[in-house]
Amino acid sequence: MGVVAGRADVTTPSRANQRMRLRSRARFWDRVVTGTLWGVAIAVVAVLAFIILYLLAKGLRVLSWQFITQANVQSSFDGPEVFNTFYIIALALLICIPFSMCAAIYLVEYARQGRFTRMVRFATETLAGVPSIILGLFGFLIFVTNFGLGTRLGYSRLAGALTLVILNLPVLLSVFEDALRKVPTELREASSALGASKLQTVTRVLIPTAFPSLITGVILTAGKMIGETAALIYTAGGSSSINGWFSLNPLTAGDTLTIKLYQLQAEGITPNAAQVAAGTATLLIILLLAFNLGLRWAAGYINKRITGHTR
Amino acid sequence: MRWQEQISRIVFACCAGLVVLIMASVVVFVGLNAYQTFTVYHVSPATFFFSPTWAPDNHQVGSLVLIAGSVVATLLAVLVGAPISVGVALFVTEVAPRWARRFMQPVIELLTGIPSIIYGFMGLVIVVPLIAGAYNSFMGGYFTTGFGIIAAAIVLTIMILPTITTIAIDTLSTLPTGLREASLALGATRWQTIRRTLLPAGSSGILTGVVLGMGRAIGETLAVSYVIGSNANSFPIRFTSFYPYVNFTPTSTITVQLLFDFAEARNPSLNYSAIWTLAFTLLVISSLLVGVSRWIASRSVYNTTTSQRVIGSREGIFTTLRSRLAPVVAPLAPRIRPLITRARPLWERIAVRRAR
Repeated sequence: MGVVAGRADVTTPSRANQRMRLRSRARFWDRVVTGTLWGVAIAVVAVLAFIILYLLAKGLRVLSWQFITQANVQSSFDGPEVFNTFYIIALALLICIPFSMCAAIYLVEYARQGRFTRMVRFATETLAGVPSIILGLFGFLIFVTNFGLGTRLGYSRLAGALTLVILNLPVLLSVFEDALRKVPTELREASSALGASKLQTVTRVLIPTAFPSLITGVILTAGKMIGETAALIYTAGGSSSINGWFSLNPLTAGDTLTIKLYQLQAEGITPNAAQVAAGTATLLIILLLAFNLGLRWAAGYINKRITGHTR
Repeated sequence: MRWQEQISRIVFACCAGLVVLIMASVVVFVGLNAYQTFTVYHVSPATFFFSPTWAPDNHQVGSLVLIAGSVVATLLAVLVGAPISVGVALFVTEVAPRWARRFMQPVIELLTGIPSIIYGFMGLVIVVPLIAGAYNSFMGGYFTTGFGIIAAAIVLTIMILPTITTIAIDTLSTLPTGLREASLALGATRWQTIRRTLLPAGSSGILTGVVLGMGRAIGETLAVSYVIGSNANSFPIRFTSFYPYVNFTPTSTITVQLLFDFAEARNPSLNYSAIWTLAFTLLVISSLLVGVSRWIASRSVYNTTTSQRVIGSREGIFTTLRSRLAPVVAPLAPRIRPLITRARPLWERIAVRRAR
């Protein structure tokens, strides 16, 4: 009895010490890492805050209502660019949404596992990974020129929009696919049980149910389109006529805010380029924020109207 | 009714086929133009890929500097950006209290949403002068304008951050809670849980994100074009006898040269064809990166969305789960076992205290 107790007394303290050391070391590193993670997160927030605040501070001095509307100050006049940005996005979405919707419906509802489906998935993922500058050159080759041999559409807003369609088709497709997959199977079964055909199920059950997610996907894609530059420089053209910039003709050339920003830096012929660039950059970021927040609010509203509850 | 079904089915299938058609035509038409460098202008592939002189007007098209620029900028960006991104992801999923998590969500989305041209603009206004100032005051006697691979890498680091972070967050948050609970129940601290359980279990998802981030970095054009200085004939790095040394001189990347040279290239000329060859090279690199990320994602076990996307089968869920889980759980066991052995003394102590 005494021997056993003695042995226990001898071994336990040293083991306990070791244990305590390990334990406290583990706690120490845990604290260090936790602190580091907080630090990293704060640094990232600081970077974002710095970018936005810097742009606002620099640009708000330049930015005025005349910066957008007044056509007589040529170099610092952003009206056509704002209009073209939204025009090209609307055109691209108009073309892109039906195609990607149909493709997503096919993949989710109709496709069986097979060579064709695998091919579509492979093409989607690869296309999503193609750098936008390459798609820009491709768009130049196919839409602007006739395979490099003559003029097809020329530098035009339509050519730019079509290039954006190619760029965003895979993105929108996978967003739509995820949205449709999230619809519970019971709804499909219930619809079939009521005698609805597959097409009826798709149009009357699936799409309405998935509508909020679909809208969110469209908004995110549109937000990406606002900032797109590389795909548009060689397709949408770098100029917009000041007199006719409200024209809805898709075949006229029209530069977006991002293209203007690029040209201000690349060509450097504008006298007050730095100021105009700051103003344009700020305008771009304000539009982007407003667009994202506004449409997000709209999506929430639509969602509430349709499903009757907020998510 | 019947014919409507048939027609709609065909229309849907055609739209899905459109994606394949587009991808195929991108490869074919870029490839056809790219091929002419070698056939019409008789530049040997060895010259094109391994010669460092890029002067298309003098019939010298060697893209080694450009390829090196793209690769080095991407690697530097990933080297710095990946740990930070994973850190942010871990913060959001493991450490952050609820308010911080709610706050980080839009922050990451906004970082994704900021156009690349704005990043370039900020790089031009902030990063380049900063590098120039730091270098010129500390490296006495040497001088840099600040344009170059370091500036590009810094801008790219910030740009790929949200890409990697988003995917890492998705991966970490879809890991079964049981993993976390098991590790914590064994007495592991949060950091031990992260290091020994969560990171290994989520490694394939996180790696997928890193590779996709590399794809984004290597394809990035505008932001890099603002800060790189676009000198197509100066290497981004040089090798001393001991270690590679980053040059602080203006250099260039594939994308930047595509952007700047395409405006000046007349259609039938070596310059024009060489640009398409560059574009095709970039296309191949980025497709390879996508392929690698797909391959990594197909090995993932816990991330159900990606594995569904890759497998896409409708077999019984338990068969799938068992066959998918076994290969990961088995190598995971030796990682969890040390935790058990470490936790055992603790358990004994508790038991001893109870006995007393």
